[in-house]
Amino acid sequence: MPDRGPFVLMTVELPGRATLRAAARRLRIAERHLDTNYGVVPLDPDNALFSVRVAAEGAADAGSAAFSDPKIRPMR
Amino acid sequence: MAKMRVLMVVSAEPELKRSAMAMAAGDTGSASLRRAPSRLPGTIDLDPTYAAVPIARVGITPSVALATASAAPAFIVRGHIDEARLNTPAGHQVFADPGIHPFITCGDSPAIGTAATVRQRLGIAALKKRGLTGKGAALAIMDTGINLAALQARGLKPNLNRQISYSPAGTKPTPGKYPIGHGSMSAFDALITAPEATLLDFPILNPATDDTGLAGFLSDATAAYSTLLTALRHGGKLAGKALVVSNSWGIYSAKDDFPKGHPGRYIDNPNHPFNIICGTLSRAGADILFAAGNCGKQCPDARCTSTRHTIMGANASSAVTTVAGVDCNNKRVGYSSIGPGIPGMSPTKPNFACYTHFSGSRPGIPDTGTSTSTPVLAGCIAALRTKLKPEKLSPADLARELRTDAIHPGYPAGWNAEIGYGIVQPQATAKRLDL
Repeated sequence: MPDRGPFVLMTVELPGRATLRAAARRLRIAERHLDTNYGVVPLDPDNALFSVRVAAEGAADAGSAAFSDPKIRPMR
Repeated sequence: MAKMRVLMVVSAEPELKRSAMAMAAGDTGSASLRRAPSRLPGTIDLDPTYAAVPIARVGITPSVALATASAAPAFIVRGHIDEARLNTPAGHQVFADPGIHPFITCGDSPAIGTAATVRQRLGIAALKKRGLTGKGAALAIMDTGINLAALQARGLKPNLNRQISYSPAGTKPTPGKYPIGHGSMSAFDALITAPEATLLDFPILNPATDDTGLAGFLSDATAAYSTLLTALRHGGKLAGKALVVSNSWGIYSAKDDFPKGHPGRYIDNPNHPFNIICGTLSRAGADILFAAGNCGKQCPDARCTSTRHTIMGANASSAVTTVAGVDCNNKRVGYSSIGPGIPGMSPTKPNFACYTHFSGSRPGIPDTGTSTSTPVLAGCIAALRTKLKPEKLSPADLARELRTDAIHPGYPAGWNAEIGYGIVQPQATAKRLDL
């Protein structure tokens, strides 16, 4: 990913349409803070649970918990 | 009173010479000592089965020329002594005879065995006779990407599904055409045990994600898992099929995560989005395998910052099977991370051990790490899934069946922190389940 800034992951329940706009509204975050390339990722569709990637600065104002997005590496 | 094994040097006499000469002639049957040396202190219990060893020296300099059975002025004998009387044999010096052990396999150790050895150990020929080759099962390699040509150059005939793939946002997927590297090694190792499985190429560790080297972000893995979930669910391209997911990655240090106690931390938090999706994918029927890691206490990877509670994050999730590493002599490799899993996640990690540190995907260079043992076991599961769909036996139930047949040489029955429930024996499980 080019020029990736600090991001966090957030989970969001979206019983209706799973869109970035709906996620931003539900999380009470400005939509511009959501990573549009990442989109809305289903985590547990049967329970309407999704994840979004959020710029860390934008997540600071959110009422919901921000989850870490650490680097991962091969176990070689 | 505790007995200690010791060595003693005693002066030459005919029985010692006879014993040493018999040994030198290869006549081990008559090399045992028939009587104790006359000058052996009474505090020593002689071990007569140990043939006398000639020793010679001039001053303090050993002399090979004099160290023959016929000419040596002295001989080494072995015996036992009460620990409390260790200093009492007046005029005689006793030497320690400590137990010695083979060096444990570490990252820089040469390869032990080959891919053929692994096949033999796991009974892959017997699985093939039962038609358990992985045919029809999808085997997702979550790694740096696969180079199909490299696998073909090693004599494999891999099947690759190019329709189900993934690449991080902003990059174009080119399944099977990634640079030769860790992902190709993982694919090779999976095909050792499931030669007819269909590979899925998921380069979540594509080098393009980070200019500091082979790395990705957990969010990429989350998105990749979501792709698999969509494919596996009703109406998806993998619906009704077996899916095995091999993950030879993780994080090496808690310092890469949020601080301890933060509600958004990954490594010890089942509510982290990635740990949630692992559970969802497992419930959908996918067998998910994760490497235990390479932070074993005997020779941890240089990137490890601890050797305690290093099985963490999804690698310690109850929804996955966590794989330790053993060499082809059934010995745990020294870098294989030791359990239990990090507090907050499943404690009984690793679950199983499988083979690593053998000559496989690259001539002259061993395939190492729990990065290798994980796809080898993933292949075993894909092979069993040829005739055992998840609706018949769930991932958790299949893991329980594997436990029944796993071997644990040198360890007591049940779970242990080094190799979990033991080294899997897929052919025994296949036979017992009548596959």
